[in-house]
Amino acid sequence: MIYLQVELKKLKRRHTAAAFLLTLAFLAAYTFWCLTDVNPGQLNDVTAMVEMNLLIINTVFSPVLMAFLASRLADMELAGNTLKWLCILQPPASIYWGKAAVGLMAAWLFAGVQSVLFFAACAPFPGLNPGCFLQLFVTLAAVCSALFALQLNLSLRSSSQLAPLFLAIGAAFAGLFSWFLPVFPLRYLIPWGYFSVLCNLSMTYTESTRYTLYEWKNYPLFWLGVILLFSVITFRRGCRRFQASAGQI
Amino acid sequence: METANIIETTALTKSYHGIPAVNGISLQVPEGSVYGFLGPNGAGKSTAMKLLLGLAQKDSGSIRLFGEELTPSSRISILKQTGSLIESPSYYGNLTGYENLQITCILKSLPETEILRVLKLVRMDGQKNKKASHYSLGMKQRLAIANALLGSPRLLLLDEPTNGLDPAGIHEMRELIRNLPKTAGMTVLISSHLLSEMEQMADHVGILSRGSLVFQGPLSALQAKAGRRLIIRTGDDRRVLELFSGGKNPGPAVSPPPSLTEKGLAFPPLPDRETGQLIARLVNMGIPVYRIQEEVQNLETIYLNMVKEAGL
Repeated sequence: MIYLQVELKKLKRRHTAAAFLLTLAFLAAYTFWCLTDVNPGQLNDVTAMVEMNLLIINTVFSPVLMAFLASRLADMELAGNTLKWLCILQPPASIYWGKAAVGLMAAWLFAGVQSVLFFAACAPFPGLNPGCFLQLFVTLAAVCSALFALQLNLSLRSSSQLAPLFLAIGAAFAGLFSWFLPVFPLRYLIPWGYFSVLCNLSMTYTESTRYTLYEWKNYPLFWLGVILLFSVITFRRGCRRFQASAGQI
Repeated sequence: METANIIETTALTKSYHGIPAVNGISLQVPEGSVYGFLGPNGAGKSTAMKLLLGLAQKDSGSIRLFGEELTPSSRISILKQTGSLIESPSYYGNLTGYENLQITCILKSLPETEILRVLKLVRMDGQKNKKASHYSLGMKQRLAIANALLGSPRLLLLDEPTNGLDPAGIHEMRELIRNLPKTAGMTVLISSHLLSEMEQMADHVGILSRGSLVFQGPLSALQAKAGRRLIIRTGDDRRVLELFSGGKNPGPAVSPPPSLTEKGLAFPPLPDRETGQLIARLVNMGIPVYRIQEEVQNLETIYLNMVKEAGL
């Protein structure tokens, strides 16, 4: 708990909360704009439409946001040459896990606020899948956690934070393309594609009637397990590497 | 009564890419001392200090701090009794000086009243609410020293702490460090490549050269090595040398015989009476004497000779 408190203190004036709030504000504005424009006669499930839109937009925003948070957490140690100070007062592993805890907390809060927003926005449009709010939360939390783990390890290894940030931007676009190439296995191979892998919706648009049919499928628990396992392995590997680089007797 | 050693290392070794940075050093730092760790740049001082703090992995040897073996499991609990400043100052630029020190207070479970005390000690209390990124190098150095002093640790390890300080700041820091054993009961291990600085602060010294410890002991023992000699400039140095080498001793017994140096003839130190006799004899033999001076070989020369002998 002390280590988490220290990490949060170190983030003061690093504008990380502002970045999350701005993204959430944008997502809220986008969701409400979608709903004001919707014609309930042209689709079978408004809630499904909103969830799919949220997941697509998260494919672009979340990787960059997680990379930003990871770079802020790593950069302050590298720029201030602080590891030789901290490693005397706390085990290197606790420094790493303190940062991981901040990232996980941020990822889950980010997912939680979006799910509440989704629930509030869709309250007037009862959908066909009452569990979709929880499913959205689980998807966002799991994928954002995995992306954060990856970005944290990259940021802690890079002296310049530009490389991990550019990688996140590029990867976000790879994730976005994976939505439109459903048969291509890319989405299963990269963590940025898991917003689409964990989306338990299919959409059929009939051009003649301009009607969109959304269908709910079973939640892909196997792929949820895969992305969770990826997070655990990435965090553990990152911690080991961080300990080695911090140097111990 | 013999003082206990607060730091003891045995054959401590660390190599980088096969080149030894610290080569089998056995440090003995007595409790309550200011131990000056001397050596030219690249001698291995910082590496040795990093090893003592567990910031680098040793290849072989052992480290005992406060009588306890430093191991990965005991490291943090032992090091909580230390304060340190290694190489450049560490700080979070986005936080104020006060907030930076709060981090150490949280991690060491210290009350925040400590922060004001140490800031006052390093004369930074007026700058506590300024962001550390806006500090000058000297102020950052003071902040790092304040950080090391938090909680009055039993052992303070300072790696070139006066870097970046102005002359007044260096003087203040020197006074502060010199008095720490008396005022706070601390032991200080301080590294520097400046002998003059060490002479004014330390009571024990260790000289490191190419990773090896070439001298260790009280400063007084080093000072005792300081030699004296008599330099005499005459009008015919060669004739004087011939006189002494030929056994035609022109005056009092001189052993070892004089040698020719850049400054003149170097004689071993002689009592005043014998010096007078020697000069009188030389003058009587028609050898003009221009200048007589006693030369004391300073610590710097001894230090440089030690380093030279060690191969640097």
